[in-house]
Amino acid sequence: MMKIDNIELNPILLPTWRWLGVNEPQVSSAVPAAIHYDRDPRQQQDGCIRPLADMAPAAVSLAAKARGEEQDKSSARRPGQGYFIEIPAADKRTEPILLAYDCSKGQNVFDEQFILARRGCEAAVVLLYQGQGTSHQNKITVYAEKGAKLHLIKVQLLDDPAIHIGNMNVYAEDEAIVELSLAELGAGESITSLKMNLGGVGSKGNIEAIYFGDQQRKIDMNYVLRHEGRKSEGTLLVHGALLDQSEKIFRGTLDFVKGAKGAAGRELEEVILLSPEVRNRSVPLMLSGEDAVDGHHAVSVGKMNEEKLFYLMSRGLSRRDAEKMVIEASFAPLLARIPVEHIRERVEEYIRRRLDHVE
Amino acid sequence: MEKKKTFVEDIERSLYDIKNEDRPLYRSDTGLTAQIIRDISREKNDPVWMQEFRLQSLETYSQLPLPAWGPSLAELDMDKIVTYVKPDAKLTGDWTEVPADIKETFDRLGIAEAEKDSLAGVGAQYDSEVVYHSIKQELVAQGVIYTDMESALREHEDIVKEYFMKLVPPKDHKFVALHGAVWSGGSFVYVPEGVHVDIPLQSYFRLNSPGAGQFEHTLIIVEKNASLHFIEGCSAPKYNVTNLHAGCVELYVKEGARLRYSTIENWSRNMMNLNTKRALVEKDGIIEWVSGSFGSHISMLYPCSVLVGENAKAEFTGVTFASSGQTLDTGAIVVHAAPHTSSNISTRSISKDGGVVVYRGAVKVTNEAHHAKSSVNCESLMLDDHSRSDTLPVIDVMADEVDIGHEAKIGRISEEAVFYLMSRGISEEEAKAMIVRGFVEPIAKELPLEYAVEMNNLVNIELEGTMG
Repeated sequence: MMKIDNIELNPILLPTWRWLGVNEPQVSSAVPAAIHYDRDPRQQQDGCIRPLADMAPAAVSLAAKARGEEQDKSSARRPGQGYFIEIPAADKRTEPILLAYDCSKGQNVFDEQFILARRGCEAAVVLLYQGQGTSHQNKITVYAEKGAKLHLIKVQLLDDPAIHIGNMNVYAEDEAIVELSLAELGAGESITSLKMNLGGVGSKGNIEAIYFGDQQRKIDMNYVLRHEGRKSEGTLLVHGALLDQSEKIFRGTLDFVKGAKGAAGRELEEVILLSPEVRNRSVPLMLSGEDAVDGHHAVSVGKMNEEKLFYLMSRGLSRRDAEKMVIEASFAPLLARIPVEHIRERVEEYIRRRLDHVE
Repeated sequence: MEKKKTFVEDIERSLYDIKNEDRPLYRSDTGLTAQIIRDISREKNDPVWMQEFRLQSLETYSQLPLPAWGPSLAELDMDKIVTYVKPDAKLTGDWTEVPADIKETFDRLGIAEAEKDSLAGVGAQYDSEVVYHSIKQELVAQGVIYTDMESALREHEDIVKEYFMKLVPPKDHKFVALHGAVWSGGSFVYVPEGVHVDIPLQSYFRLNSPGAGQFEHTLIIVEKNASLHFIEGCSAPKYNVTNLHAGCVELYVKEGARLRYSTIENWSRNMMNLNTKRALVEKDGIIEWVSGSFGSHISMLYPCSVLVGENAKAEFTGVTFASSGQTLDTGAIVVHAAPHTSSNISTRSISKDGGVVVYRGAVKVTNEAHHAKSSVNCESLMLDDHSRSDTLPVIDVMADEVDIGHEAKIGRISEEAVFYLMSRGISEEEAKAMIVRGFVEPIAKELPLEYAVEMNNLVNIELEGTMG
């Protein structure tokens, strides 16, 4: 486990040759010590959003379970500052819960959330990060009880040249469904780690993520989808584009634990490269201690589909404009799932602005 | 019909388990010291530069750490390994001159028979030295050299000096450094420009001595527009002590040349197989690896193709079958370092009875390799729920205008397929065996016939009585 100030980042589950530089998260510069985010990110008055300090011991234990921490360690651990979002049992919400963080210029901030989706509830939670902070650290923990259905959307649009470090841990009980839509688009350097544990029988986890590297941007991602429960189903779908001198490492792991009979996992990463100076590292791991599983992963790295480009160019677009359109199209399915219209538009505009500089 | 026993390998492996009396002419002390290296060098009558090379490699070995990844090598105690065992047999080109027990071992492994039927040349190494070598006269007439490394060092010293451990330098990793210090035996092949060796050459490596290491060096140079198929086989009887194999293979494929390098590895299950293989491929050259890994207790083997010339190609076809007590960590590396290079990696892994297979691979595309293409396909079959199968490929691309794809699947034998075959009157056990044979078929069809048969036999040995 690598610790950067407040954030513990997961290592790759199976290390490999050192010369590839993928075993540990790559952090190019020193990360300044952070203070807690001191503004109120809540966009609505809602009794289900409370300070982390208000959590009952039972909820603290669930958070620890989601993080894979030993119980004795967690009992000693005091919840820090941040927000505890508890969706009551059977509460089926149509309106998403929104927390918007705006990092002030020059600040080094840290924030934390624990989302507890009680039995049979249905909810969407949107976390938005933007602003001109120097660095931003973030720890998200999610626990979905039996039959809960949670959609968590994380949109990170921090200005350059901020450093963003994020760690997310998710646990799903029997028949819980957790969907994650992760738009890790901003910050000059972004290091994120995610572990989703499908611990319950018939639990489902769908992770969809997009990244976009341009200029000298550095992106380091380590996502693990762990199948512990029988008949658990998971997908990990990642789309990205790299331009200019950007660099990216994506490690995506499907981990089938012994006993996860009938589990099925799918992983796909598609990367579009649009500059000879980029560096793309893709590490799709598939680990299995169980035979009765169905696992599949695929990675595709390279230039765009020529047929698509040709079609667009035949409609009068220049090659560059056609390429931009293909990139936007690859991000579109995730953006369409952002349930807050003004945020969705904000992200679309942000991507367009970033693409505008491409000649 | 009575069901066969579950664990049959100790019975059925008898062909490979013939143990001869261990009566070497010379055996180095256990462990690794500069004095042991000097003794080996003296015993082998090395030129001065080679002795220096060995001593320097030993120094590199002691400076390098064990790999921080891969299977645990804690069981390997170099202080207990004998690095040089000179058999009581002189190198000969006549089978009748090989000592009776050694000859009988190779006969039972089918080496002499294969030479008669389908090979253009044969080398047979027993412990640390090659005891038999032959090559068809018509190849000699065309300038083809196929000999043991010691003879090559004496008779073609300039060529050996130019190429030896230049592609795989001792500083690469600890066990290559070890190899540089204690290497002995192996094959040297030189195919002159434009010569096509249509029938394969084969070297067979047999380790008989308990607690010993085998460190053969294979150096093959295929000159411009020439071609060769080289086959390597390895086996050893099982002992209760750890044996070590740290061979090194260096292949030079020059412009427009083609080399196929096939290996069936069936070391005994007390063997640590830490082998290093690398090919350097020039413009329009082609390297084809065909690799079957069945034996050994622990294997770490990742043949590497470095494509340095425009339009160079690499093909890797491999099957790995791990059973009880085995951790077979295998795979392939391709470095695309020139434009329009292409590679194709296809592997099949099977694990059963607690065996662990790992596919570990890397495809690296440097910034000069625009228009590189690579396709990797890994399929894993698990035959029970106490085995393991892990896939760990890395793709590292520093260019655009490339087309790189990786795909992997994991699962068990499809019940529908078994049911279908049973509905056609085939027993469940045979249906499952058929499916496994079908699973490895893409690899088997790349092997020379007799090796495909051997591989099928190995698959059958592993499967008998374990399913159904």
